Amino acid sequence: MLIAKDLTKTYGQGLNAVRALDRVTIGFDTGAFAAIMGPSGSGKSTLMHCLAGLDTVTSGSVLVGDTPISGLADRELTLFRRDHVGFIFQSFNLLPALTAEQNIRLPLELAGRHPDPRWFQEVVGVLGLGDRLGHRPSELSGGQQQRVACARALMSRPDVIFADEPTGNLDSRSGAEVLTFLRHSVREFGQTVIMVTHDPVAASYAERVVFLADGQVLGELLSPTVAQVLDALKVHEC
Amino acid sequence: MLTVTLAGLRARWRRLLLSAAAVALGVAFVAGTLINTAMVHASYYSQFAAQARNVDAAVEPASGARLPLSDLGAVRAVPGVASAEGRMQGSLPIVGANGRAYAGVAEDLPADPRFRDYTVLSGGGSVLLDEDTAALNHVSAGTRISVIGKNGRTRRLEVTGIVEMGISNAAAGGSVLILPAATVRTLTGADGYRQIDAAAAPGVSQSALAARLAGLRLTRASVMTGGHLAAMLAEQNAGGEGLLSTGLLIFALVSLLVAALVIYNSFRTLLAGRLREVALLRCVGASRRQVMAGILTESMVLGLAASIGGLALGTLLAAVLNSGSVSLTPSTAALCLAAGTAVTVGAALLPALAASRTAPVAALTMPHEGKVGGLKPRIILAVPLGAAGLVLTAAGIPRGLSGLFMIAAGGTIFFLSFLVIGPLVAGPLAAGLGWLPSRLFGVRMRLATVGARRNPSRTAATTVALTIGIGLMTLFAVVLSTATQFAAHEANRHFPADYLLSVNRGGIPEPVVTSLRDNSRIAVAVGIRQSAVSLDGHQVQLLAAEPVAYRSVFMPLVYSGSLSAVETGTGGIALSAIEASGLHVTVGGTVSVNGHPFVVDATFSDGVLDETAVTSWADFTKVLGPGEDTEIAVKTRPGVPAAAAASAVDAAVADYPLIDITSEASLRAHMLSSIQKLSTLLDGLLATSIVIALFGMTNTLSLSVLERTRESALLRALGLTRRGLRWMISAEAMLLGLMGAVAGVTFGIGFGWATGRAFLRTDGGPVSYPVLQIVGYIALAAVAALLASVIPARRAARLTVIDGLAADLSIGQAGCGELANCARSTWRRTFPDAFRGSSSRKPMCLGHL
Repeated sequence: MLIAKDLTKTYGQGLNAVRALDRVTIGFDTGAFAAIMGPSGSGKSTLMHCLAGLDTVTSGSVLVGDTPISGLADRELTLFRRDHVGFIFQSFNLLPALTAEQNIRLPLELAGRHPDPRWFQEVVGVLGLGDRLGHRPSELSGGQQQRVACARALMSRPDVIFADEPTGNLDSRSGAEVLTFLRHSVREFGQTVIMVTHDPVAASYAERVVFLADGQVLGELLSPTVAQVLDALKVHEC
Repeated sequence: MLTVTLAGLRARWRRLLLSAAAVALGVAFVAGTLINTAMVHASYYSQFAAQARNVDAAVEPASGARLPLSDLGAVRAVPGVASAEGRMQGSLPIVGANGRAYAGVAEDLPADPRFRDYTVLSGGGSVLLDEDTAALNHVSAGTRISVIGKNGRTRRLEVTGIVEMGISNAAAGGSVLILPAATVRTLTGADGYRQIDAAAAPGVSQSALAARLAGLRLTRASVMTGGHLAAMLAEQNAGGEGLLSTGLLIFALVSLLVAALVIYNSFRTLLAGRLREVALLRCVGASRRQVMAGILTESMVLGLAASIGGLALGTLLAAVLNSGSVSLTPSTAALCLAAGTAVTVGAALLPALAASRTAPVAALTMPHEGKVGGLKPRIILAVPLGAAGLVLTAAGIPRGLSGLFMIAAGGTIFFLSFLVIGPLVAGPLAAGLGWLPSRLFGVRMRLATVGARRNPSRTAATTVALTIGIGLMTLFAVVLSTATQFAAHEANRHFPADYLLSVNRGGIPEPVVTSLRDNSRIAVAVGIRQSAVSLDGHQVQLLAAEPVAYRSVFMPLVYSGSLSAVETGTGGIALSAIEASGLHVTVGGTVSVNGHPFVVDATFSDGVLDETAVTSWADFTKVLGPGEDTEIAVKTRPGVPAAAAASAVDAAVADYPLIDITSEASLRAHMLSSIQKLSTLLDGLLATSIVIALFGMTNTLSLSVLERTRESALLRALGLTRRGLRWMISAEAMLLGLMGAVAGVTFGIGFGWATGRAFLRTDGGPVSYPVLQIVGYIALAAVAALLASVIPARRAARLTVIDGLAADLSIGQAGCGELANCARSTWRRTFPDAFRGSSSRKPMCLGHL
């Protein structure tokens, strides 16, 4: 369960103030695969940052599982992210000096824990990374790098994985692989995934699409198809 | 092209600021060292040559003689002499706080204050004592002291002031008491001047004055100008102006090298961004010449501006170090500005040249981290260079002291090879040093180790500046420690006396010797006589010891021949090795001592024994007639406590205050303290280079933190706390510091060993390694590196995760942001239409062009 209530985020002061999120109230079920869509400046990235505890909120509250994170200090937020949140970025963001395996293990090791070997093998197996574990990111293709990032996000079995344009830097085949895996992890592992994207094809992999514009939720689609998403985008003038 | 240069400057201003800071710091270091050198030089010169202050011409008697009192009147009568002063000096021991005589001299109080070669520290008046003697014997202005005048009569004097003397040979460590000329004559019996100083009237040059004085044709006297006198005194007292200048110049060169490394390294860090920018400009049609001209202009402006800042900073530093007074010569300023600008331009041009040699498109897609260029050329260059350095050093070791220059040259060449090979060994070294801590401290330490390894060229260049400082400090520590140990060892082995009794004038009375020999605590009390003699026309100090001494307290280290003939008294003589080679005689040759012929039986080490010639006890009497012992060497019985032995010696000399007692322990303490002083001075000079190296480290760390902004943010997103991030960067800095220290200590110990061996030649004990001191240096480097990391670590931790993730600074596999930004801002100016409609948030990635 992830619930945002009356979430407001304002940048700047006085006349220059920009309201990036305007009293957004939204909930995501455990084990859901949701996509957030919207044009540039709609607030979708800000919403994700606030939900993930990367950014502070101006007002409102965020509840991840049973933890209210909107009041936490930086250190508590960091420890919270470490144990409860996974990230997948558009630009992969692997550490170039570490091997694929070291990158996958990194979040758990930062927490001073060791991954369950069976879980590690299962994730790596599903992602087809078995023979790539000793390679550095520069020796991997974009698709492989993003799959390493997926494994890294899954390793601590977080309450929720946030994926920020996960296919933005990939060709369509690699993108499809990553999206298929995300759907697989939701269905088979019960993982919660929230994905920010502006690609209707990517969004069609999700079970639910939320449309955002000018910091407000405009509507949503359940079990969307590509055509439905495109239509919705036209309706919402995205 | 200027538009592009300016746009580039704007886009990279933060990094350029750091590079400018590196230039400024490097120049500040050189300027500070040069200014300090000049001032140290000036102050040494004025200290050592204090006696020549305000002297325009000086008259000196022939060696050993004195100028008659009447000469002063003659000098004063010469036209052009504004004032003249007869300088008088006589031996005047004072009675110290322990009741023992203290060797010293009395000097006249110049009537003309211009000729005073001392500075009054407290009090005033006409009875002035030097500060060292005063401090040692708890004397202040107003204290009454006893002096031992001619014929051994004790007189009481009230000290009216304490003075600081320039360094001079006259006092030679003893006390100096300044008294009115008449009092000097009465107390010491001095009956002439050792020098007459004259000051010129306005308009009369030094040489003109000297010529007029020479015109007096005073008997047995020579005339020299004040400048000549100053140079001569500096030569006598400072072991030559040349030596001092050379030493200080070496420090300035070391500082220049360290500064150049810091500057170069900082610019290298810009290489990645630079390379792609140059390639991009070439892609869009800029000629190679245009690109080069742009970079040349930029780096010259930056280098000159930063050098001016650095010069100002260095002058300020020197002023702070010298409590306000500072003298910046135009040549120093010019040298600093030229060096700073030249190094900056060189450091900026090298990457640009490399970029222009590469095909533009290839440069755009080149990987930028973790690769060290030219593995093979590096090895090909470094191995023969290192071997040459080692061979030269090895060749220098057996040559003894004359081989030191070869060892220094060998060390320098070896260090150059180290510079070449550094980037290749930096990675493995970091991995090796970081291995254990990584096991102990987990992933944060492992990330720090990875950070130190990821750019071995940069790591090597960052640490090498520290290596120089720590290396030289270690080298000096080893050499000084070896010298100390050698001297102590020699003294113990060859002259194992526990006490040496000496007397300033006359001889040691017979009852003293008898009383010592009768005491059950004393094993041996041996008489030693010495006197100045003429050896083949050279003035040397001749020594003889009672035969019993040769088996107990007097066992000089024999280089060639045998002392047995000298011991038994069959007309032989032993010479110090230096004296023998100066006279071109070897064992078996003949020399004459005051006209008596002697066969050279042996040569001995001049390391410890001051005297240059030794004959038998009997031959000494034959040449110089019967006389009293001038020294008694005393050896206590084994097992007698030091206090009991000391009281036995004190009791024997109780009635003879003129006898000075030197204990072996106090000699050693004296020796140690003077070596300690030298060591502190050297460390102080070298510490400056370490401070600059650390500024360089701060700079490099800041740049690499800036470069890794996105990675840091990622780690924070994945659960690394702010404190954890700070910890990680500090750990990386400490690792760098340790690497520099370990390399420096290895280098210092190796070449310290070589220097020590050369110093010891084939004899003497082992080279001594001051382990604690060296461990201290390593710890110092680590702690200092930790300090250097404070600012970069704070900066890294301050950034919020979101800003960091969005940062356009990363040059990782995903980051082409900085370049894209730069290119966009340039292009937007040039082709305003091209960017219409493109998102201003997300830089477009060149990889997709």
